[in-house]
Amino acid sequence: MAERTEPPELPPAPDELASFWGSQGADQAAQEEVIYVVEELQAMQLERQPSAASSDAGSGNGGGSEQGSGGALFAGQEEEDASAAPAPPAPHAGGDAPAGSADQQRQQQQQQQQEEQDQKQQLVALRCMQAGGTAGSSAAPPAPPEEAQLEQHPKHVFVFSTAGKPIFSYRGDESRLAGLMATAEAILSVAHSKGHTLKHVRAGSHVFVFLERPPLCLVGVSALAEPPAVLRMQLTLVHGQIISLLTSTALNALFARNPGYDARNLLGGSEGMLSSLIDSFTSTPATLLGAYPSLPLLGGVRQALASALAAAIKATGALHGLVVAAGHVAATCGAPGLAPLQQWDLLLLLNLLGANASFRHSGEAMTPVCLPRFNASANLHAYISYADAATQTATVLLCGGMPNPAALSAAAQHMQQQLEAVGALQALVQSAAREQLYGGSSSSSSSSGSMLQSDAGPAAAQPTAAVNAAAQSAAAAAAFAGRDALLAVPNLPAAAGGGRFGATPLLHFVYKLSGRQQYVMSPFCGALQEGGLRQAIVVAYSQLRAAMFESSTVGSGPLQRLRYEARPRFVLLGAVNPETELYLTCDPLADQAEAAALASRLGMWLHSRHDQLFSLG
Amino acid sequence: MASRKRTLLKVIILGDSGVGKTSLMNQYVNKKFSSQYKATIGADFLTKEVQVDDRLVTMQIWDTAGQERFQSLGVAFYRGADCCVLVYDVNSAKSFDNLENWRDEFLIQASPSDPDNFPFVVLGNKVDVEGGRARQVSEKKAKQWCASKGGIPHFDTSAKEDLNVDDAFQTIARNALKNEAEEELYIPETVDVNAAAAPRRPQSSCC
Repeated sequence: MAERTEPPELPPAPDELASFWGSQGADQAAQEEVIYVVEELQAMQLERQPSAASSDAGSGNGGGSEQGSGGALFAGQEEEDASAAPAPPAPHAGGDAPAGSADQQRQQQQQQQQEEQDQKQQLVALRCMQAGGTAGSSAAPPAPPEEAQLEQHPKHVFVFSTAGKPIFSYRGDESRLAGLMATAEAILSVAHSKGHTLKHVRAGSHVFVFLERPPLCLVGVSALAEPPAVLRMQLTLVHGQIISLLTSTALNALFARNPGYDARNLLGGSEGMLSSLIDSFTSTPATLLGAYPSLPLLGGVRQALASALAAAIKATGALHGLVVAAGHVAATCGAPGLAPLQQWDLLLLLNLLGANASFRHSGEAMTPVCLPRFNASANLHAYISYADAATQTATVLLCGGMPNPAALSAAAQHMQQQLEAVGALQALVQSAAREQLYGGSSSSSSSSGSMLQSDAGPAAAQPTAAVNAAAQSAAAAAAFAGRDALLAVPNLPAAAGGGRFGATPLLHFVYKLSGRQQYVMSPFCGALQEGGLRQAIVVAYSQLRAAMFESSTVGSGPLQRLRYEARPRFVLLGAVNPETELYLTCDPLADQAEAAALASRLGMWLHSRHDQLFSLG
Repeated sequence: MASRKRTLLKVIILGDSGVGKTSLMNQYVNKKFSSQYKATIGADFLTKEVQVDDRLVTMQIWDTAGQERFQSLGVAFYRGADCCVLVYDVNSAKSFDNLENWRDEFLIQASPSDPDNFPFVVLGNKVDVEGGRARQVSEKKAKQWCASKGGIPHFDTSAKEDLNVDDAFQTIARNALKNEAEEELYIPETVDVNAAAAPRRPQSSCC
């Protein structure tokens, strides 16, 4: 598949996700280094089996493994940075061999590996080693091979203490993975003892990312070719969510008292919340963009919400207030003199609300929560009042000190009554229902196109006709949840690249307002929900963005302003300027010029509607 | 309590190289023995679920390398251990003499909160060799040393013949559980409104 990039002198990105990383030279070197290490591990495994040892002694360890391999085992695994200069050759026979023969050995190793199931598990899990003689044995292990089941999933997150005790695993039973987590801690520890910090390791198509936040360690594993920097940010958020439950002060105090402390006791019941956060990493672009989802609203509605929030904050002494709906932020407001909440804190708060259905059932709730960017050492009290449980529309007031539940409840009641009186609450719930992918109310569909129609700017040449057509086609495709969203592609005017499926090359887009750390996107509806396309698109955005930003050695700006990538199932275009980032997914027939023209039209249309799309206060 | 997680015990096996640490662990976890010596590189990790009285616990066994060149493995190997198993070869007086060093090393590196009562278990391995005729360390001598260190339990074991291995590890699990810290609670402080977002000094309260 030919690959087109813009500007053309940049290295082309391959069309297959799996080979995405192969195109980057420095990374290639690092990758090979790790493969050598893995070979060593396997060679040692083989040595440990009398029957298999002779044929594969060719990797050079032979009888000398006891002398040299151990040190090299760990010595090769340290990586200072993804973009570091090519790593020194492994101090070993494997490293000294010519590349071709190393490849051969690698292939041999991989064959061996497939023959020996146990060894394969260990490769994937990057196990240092197993007890001598156990690998490849036919005797049934005492416990089910939990680690073998890990291979069924392309993505993992493990959390353990610096004592190597398991705390959380995204997949599988964490206590059965105690050996795996101990191994990971041991590898980190050895890197430390040599004065290094392990950031990430590649092993075949898997990337292992490490985040050390003593007393916790987090390891992320992905076979989806997600960029390491994005995986690291995902781990940072998982760590943040744990802090949001415990505070860093409590966590540190507990482990200072007892380094072997079992933190699962305190986190019990919150596994679902961590899992839902990790689910979101490949289903929404929030983490990869570093932005929170904003609910598109007519400007007047958002202002009404914000001023009602300000009144409630004044009445209750709350530090921050927000209105959320359908997993989006509709409005935020801080007490005078306080900086706005950071996007990372808001993402954790949104996940807390989304993952805890009990808050919705009770209508109103109080819960302690720590927002790590705001203050990692202490809790806030979150007062949550649901105005509409079906659309998850709620007011959240964050207080310090001793909260007064009665005052908070009264303020929220007053706020909702006020908003209802001016119609803002109804408009909010309607907008939320349109955004909702699952179980959105169908009663609001008749008004779907009209809100943006009233504000159609000069960029939209024939807004009325387009919007009406979109509304009709949306009604025809009533089975598709999310079709009513303001930014659903069929609801956009044709001048902005909108239209029903097949009439426009545009499949999906994401739009970020950089200065405000907010984003909006078209819903993943209809065909985009099928065949893993949604995850593929989200991961592709992270790769596209990484290619535009992270290979840049100059400050924080992007290396590329515009980038086009063709993939088998879709094409991508990224357009970045100092103010905004726009990423498009188009059907595979869209060429570079068509996609770029579309991005330009859509970008202008979105740019003229910032007040409807984002909180700008 | 019903939803509480199964207790996890971190158990560290220490001792000179070649005394049979890996073989003991392998016999215990996998019910297998190989007379061929393969040095442990760094460390091995195995887990086993065991029943102690009415409790099901997971043992996370850290089998360390005996060679001195791996002693830089770092504090992580010792940190947070719930029990330390000291292994010597009854046919090697030197491996027994070194138990003192291994114990000291552990106490320094792990720095447990109550070193005098930290649970150790001593295993004298390879009692099967030459039907016991090669034995250099008598059980009496070993038990004397264990008594002088605060009554450490001692077992004569044979990884090869699976002698006392289960009993020894049962004791290890039991003693580790006995040492389990009281359930700790910590109530985090709430953000002080007057100091807003400024980080506050930690203040704990126990229940």
